[in-house]
Amino acid sequence: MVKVDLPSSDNPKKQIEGCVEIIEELNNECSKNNEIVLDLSELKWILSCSALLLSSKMVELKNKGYKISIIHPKDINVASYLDKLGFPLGGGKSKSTFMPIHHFFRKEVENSKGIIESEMEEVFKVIQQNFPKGLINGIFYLLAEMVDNIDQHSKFTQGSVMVQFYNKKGHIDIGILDNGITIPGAYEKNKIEFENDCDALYKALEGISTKVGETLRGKGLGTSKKLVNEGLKGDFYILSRNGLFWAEHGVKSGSKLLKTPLNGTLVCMRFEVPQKELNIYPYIE
Amino acid sequence: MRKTVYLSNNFGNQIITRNSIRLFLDLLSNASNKELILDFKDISFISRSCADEYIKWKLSLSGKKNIIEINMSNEVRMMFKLVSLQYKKNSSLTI
Repeated sequence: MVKVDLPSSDNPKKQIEGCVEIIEELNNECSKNNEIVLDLSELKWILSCSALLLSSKMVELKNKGYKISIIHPKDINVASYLDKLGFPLGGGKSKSTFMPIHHFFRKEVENSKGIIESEMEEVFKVIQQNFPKGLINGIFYLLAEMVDNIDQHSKFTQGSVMVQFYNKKGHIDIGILDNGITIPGAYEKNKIEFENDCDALYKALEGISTKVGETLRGKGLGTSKKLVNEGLKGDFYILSRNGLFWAEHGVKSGSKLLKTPLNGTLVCMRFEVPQKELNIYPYIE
Repeated sequence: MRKTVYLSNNFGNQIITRNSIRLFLDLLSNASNKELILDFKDISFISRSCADEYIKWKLSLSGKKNIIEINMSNEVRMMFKLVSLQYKKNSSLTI
């Protein structure tokens, strides 16, 4: 049994770090048992990015043939929130502003042609119909850049996406996750030097692309960070292998090497709905 | 010799990934038609990556095929404009 005990704070860095440790515990549990129990009973608070990470892991284990079961949170609010997010396996029906966690898959030998487009169709539809009109183009930009990165570089077999519009609080959470070769891994594969996994993330944000000789490639991550941070005055987080990077609005950006790696890349964003229509173009040049 | 292609038939309302637009454009490159009319009706969004891929494709066909775009939404037009400007900044290529 793996007990989920995450920090009861709204700090994504701490929650992400906590989730990576839980995922490691789940991996260890797999080496001992065919039955995995995730105990959420004492969970007091969970952010959507944490739910995305744990949900992705549970789906991976289920698809590998493990029998999984969940002990639900005693806290009724946490239980209800996880239910809305489609936890643990994702794939619930979208309810206007809630786009439940959505997982998509690609076989290793399969060309990814059309997979992303078809998987994102429902997500884009929900956003177009229910999200603030002045923000739609910006959200499309962020999602498109991130999922195209997954498609282009990650060699994923499992991807996950989650978009939530908290109407009352007036903010939006976006999370995109893949189980691919990671940003540092892609650089290693293409013989691009970096000091450590955090340095690899800074290089990716600067636009150092694995596609040599194509000057307009590699802009997606950096422009997305700029759009969220400056255009939307929001927060932007990347976790890839052992590197965790954050750029929170109004605070100096930073990074940390985590002890335990994530086998993949997670990008999370949180921002408030702006008062006026967002013009994305000054931020993505 | 003229062919009209409706992008929404292939992509739905959004054009998102380089892989998918590249495969689509490769097919058009091989078409025998000298003039291609690309109808962007119902395309509400094109990603920067796809706009980049499209512009590279159009440049590669310069002098070989006449490419005409119609029914572009403002959002799609703006994305093309932005990527074209980036090309101009980065090279002397004419878009």
